[in-house]
Amino acid sequence: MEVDKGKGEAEETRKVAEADRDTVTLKSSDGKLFEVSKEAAARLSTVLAGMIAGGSIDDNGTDLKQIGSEALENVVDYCNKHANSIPSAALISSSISFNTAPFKEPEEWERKFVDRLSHDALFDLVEAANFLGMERLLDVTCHKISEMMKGKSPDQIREVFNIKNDYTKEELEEIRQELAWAFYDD
Amino acid sequence: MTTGNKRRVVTPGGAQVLPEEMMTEVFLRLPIKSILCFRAVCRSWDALLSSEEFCGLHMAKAEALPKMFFTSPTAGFDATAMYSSSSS
Repeated sequence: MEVDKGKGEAEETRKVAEADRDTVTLKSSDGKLFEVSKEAAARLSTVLAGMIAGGSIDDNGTDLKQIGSEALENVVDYCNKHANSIPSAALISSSISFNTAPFKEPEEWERKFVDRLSHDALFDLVEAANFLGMERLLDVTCHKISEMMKGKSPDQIREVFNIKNDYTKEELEEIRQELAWAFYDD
Repeated sequence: MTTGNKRRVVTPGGAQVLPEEMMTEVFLRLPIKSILCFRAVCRSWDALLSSEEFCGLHMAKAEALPKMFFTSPTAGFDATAMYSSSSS
């Protein structure tokens, strides 16, 4: 997905070419370039849609300083996979969502897409999706993390997410008693 | 989880795994039982999960989920059992 772009193109030619291109070039915080379908980027990311509409896309690579190359590669991969898949009814309706609407289940390929990611890659992707205003990708990644958490004990959660227990023994016992049914009744 | 990522090494203060806004998105997808249980993970999760704002958001999501609702006659006099269920 990474591309090495030729330098020294005349400014005028570049502008004309940019208007005709059906991809946009994005640049990660560590300077790597990625090409993504313009249609999918505009459809899936409110931020990229705004940049494309506002003409602030740079043919030499639009700087996304908040996103590292691994996360950006996953974002681009997701957009390009989306561009190649026929949107289902579920996906179309998910673009019209409200704060109180129930969450849409991920599609099979979206599940597979997030299943192969490491914890860190998954968390980085959540942040990238949030930064780029990619509601659907945020939905899919958050769903995956919630699936990883369901049915786990507080101890298991601390271990998986590397969280330090900052309660005293007494406090923890108090919480356990207060919420005994949630801890022990399955 | 790799240890090379300093951002996510949690401090004794109980820093978030993800920024709070995104952690909320994850928590909203959990059933109520998990949410209660996870208040015991650390103080910052407890503060977030027991906040009025979070409870309001979770309630709104739960209400939007499809529910099964049915009634059934009972052996007792003048009584009807009513059941309601949801995926959370």
